[in-house]
Amino acid sequence: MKPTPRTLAHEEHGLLLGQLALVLAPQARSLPVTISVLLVLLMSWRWLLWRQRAPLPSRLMLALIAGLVILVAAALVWQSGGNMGRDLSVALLGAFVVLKLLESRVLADATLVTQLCFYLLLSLYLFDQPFWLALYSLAIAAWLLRNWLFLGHPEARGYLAAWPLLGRLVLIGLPWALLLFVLFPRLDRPLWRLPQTETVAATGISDTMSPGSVSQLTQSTEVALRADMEGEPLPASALYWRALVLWQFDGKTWRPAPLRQRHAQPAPGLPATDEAPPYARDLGEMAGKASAGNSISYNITLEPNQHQWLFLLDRGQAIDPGAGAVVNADGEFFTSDPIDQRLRYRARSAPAKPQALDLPTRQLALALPPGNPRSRALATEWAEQYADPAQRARAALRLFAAAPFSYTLSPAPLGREQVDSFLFDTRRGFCEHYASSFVFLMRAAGVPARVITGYQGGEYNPIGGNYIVRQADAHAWAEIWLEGRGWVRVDPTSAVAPSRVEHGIDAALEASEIEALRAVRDPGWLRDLRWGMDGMVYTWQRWVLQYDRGQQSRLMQHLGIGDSLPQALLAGLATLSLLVLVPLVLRRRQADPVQALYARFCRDLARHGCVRGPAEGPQDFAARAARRLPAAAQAVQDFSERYTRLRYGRQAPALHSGELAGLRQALRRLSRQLAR
Amino acid sequence: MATPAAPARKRRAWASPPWLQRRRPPRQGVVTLDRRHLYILPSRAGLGFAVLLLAMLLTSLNYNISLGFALTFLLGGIGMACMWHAYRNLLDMTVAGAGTEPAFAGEPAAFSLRIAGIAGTDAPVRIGIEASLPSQAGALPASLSLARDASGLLTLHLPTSRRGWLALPRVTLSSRFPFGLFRVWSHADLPLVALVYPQPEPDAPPLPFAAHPDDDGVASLPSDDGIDQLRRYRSGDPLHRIAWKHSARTGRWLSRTGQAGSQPACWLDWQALPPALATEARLSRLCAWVLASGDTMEIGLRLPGVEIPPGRGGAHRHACLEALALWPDRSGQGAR
Repeated sequence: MKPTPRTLAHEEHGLLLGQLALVLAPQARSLPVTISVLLVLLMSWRWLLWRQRAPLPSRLMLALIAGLVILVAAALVWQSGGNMGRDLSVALLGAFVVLKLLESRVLADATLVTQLCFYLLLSLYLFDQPFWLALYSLAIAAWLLRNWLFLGHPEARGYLAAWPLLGRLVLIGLPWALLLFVLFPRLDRPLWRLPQTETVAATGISDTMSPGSVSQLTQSTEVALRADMEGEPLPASALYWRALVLWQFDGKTWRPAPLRQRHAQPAPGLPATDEAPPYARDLGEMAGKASAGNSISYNITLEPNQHQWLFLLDRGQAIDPGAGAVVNADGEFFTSDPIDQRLRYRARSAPAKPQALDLPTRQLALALPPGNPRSRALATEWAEQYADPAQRARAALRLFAAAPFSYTLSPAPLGREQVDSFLFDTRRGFCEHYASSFVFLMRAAGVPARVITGYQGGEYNPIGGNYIVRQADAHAWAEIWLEGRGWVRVDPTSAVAPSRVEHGIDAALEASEIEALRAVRDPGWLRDLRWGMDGMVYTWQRWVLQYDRGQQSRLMQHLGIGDSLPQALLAGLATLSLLVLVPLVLRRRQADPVQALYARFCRDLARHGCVRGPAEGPQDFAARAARRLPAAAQAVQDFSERYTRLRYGRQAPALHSGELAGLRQALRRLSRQLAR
Repeated sequence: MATPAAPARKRRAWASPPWLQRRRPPRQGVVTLDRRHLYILPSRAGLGFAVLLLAMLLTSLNYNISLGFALTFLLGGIGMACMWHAYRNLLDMTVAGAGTEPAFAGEPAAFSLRIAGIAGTDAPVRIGIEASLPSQAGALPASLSLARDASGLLTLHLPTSRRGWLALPRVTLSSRFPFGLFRVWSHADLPLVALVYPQPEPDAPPLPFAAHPDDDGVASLPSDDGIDQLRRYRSGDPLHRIAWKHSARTGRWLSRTGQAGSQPACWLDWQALPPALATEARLSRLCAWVLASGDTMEIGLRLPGVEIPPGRGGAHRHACLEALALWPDRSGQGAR
């Protein structure tokens, strides 16, 4: 006869329901609304049944609901074009755990639901891993464990408290967890991929630029990327986070050249030691101060933006992990998949080497749409006036620097001939207007030029020691090609509003426009607090969330373990396994200290020719030993008396620690007398 | 009970290799579950947990979720700690026999085990110690929890079918605390025996005292004069026959020879039963009669080779039942 499985008590049903609700609640951040509603309905149903102590629904009913859930899921898959996303998989799992809860009657069901709750907890991290979620899931996991403990052993309630026991378990388990976390090999690329369904909108800069469109992006203080680099903080004017090169202009919109983008090769990885390439000192002659010194190595943590391009300091040379990233001739870096989770990479930047300009590139860099006659006339005038292309560029910058050109975030709408309209009529605009018109003028003046987009500047957080680059720091600038120097960065905005480049966007704006930003960018003590928070978040991301294969191998190099990761892991695990045995060994040794001392006593006497007989009592033995070894007779008797008192006397075990010490001393005295 | 025997035997052969089947008799009446005799394996729930951890690990690996790794490895670490805790739950526990309760055949016999720590050492809290009899399909396991340094009694009920001595088979002591991830177990072969009386015959005919007058009816008739019916005490006389007052007065032990009550002694005689009855049926009927006699009636029992003089009370009834349980063996007295 098998013992009947234990059916669950009402309170246990309640706990199961509660823990599932807490595990599922944060999923609402990412689940499709349909599924969220379905889950809430199912949970509410279970809750009502629980409240009324009603019996659980029949199997048939549950089968029907399961069918309904599958239908809804199928509809969602069909809607997203046969695409079973990560969120949908998680939602389905959640729905089936709720259904399992609806038919849970016995202990085994409850154990399964609890275990699946742990998986659901893990699936919360699939979307993002903020700090609060870590704390939340830790608390929930602790609660799940506590419930599980009493679920399996309800009788334990009267005998022990759950938290101290769990604390002990965690304490014993923590070395294993740490060892595995640090040493467990990470994968280079995923085993499988469930694409994120297109519910997440792309953020950040786009791959086109239309100066005429309204600037919404500039207002957002959302973090775009964080960067940390060794050494002194760079001046803001050196912080050009370069992403895309735009070649084609149709009069309104700048676009990249798809063929050039596609012609890319695997990006060079970072060698263990960076070697600085020769550096053209006067590169940034016209664009304000140049990025100082040699090549720079740095780490970037890029927030997910659903795009494929990476941001590197102007100009990126190498990137790590090199696998998966490609670079093209224009110095653009791309990933193989859209960036749908936070990405950390290490990169090195150095000024670009002078490049020859081949014919197709020159044609592309000079191509212009028809129209904008006034601008063309101005450019032609410069071309005749200045033989040196660099001087033509300077002429354009002088034009922008003079009144009435000014920097604003809310420019007047442009006319049909956009460049003409901006240069000769409105004359107020932001970086896109200036970059666009500058490149137009340069091309019209016969200087190969292109538009670059990315971020410029960034807030240096002295607490976290890193730069915070926000969406508001999005920027557009230009590059012109000069004979013998290659592509040279020119930022026309810096001519109009040097403070935009040197002090960030706040400084470049007029007072009324700053007000709009101030709501989110507060100065003073709040800024310190914000920096502190951001520093924490960044440290968290850098050392916990972004601990990947690259970081792991760097850490291993640092520790001198190098490539023998599996061996190190196995050695660590073996050590811990042995450590677990230590209490067992100690336990045995300490089984009875009195007996242990007496055994030593017998050994000592045996060494002096007095062996205790198998049936000889302690007192008889002591008497015989005292006769045999008269020199130590007193010590023998003393020890024996103490031993008899301890061993056979009526005393609580807790009381005799002092007596035990006395016994130990007596043995020591005896050894001394025997040695004489 | 209805499970087919063959798969069960097969499973048992796998689960207990010969070295595990060696008997573990107690030393000084106590079986200690020391670490040489304590076994541990993941339970089914533990294997499920391992699969869960594997799934969590794969998910974390695939999406490189650091927090996922942290959660997975933390749970894994806790699982390792559970192994140690589960082991400690039974480690250095002692089991000793603590008596048995006789039973009638067909009813379960109770065996009591005393569970404690090793004397003189600290014992942890022990949760959910389960004692079961793997060789007895019908026996329900019993479980017990012990506070720190406490001891307790576990009672196992073993179904009975035949009269006679019933020895406690090998007891398996196991526990799954905490979380039921691991099953820790050990065995104890305790020399406990319980006496099983014959099954009382249901609807037995009434007691046969009328049909069995004494051989010398005159002597056994109660007399008004109690004095001349006293005789010297002989060893074996039941307690209630002792004439306490007379003994105290005279200073010598005296017993009454006649019947004290109004009813004559009733002999329950094997030979007097209908010859068609089989052995066990006779014993069953005699057993039912012994029970039916109650405390007021004096009964004597006559079996081939065994005779118990008339008497009454609990001890007498027990003696009769024991004789019935063990017949034809006479070695029952004091053989346990």
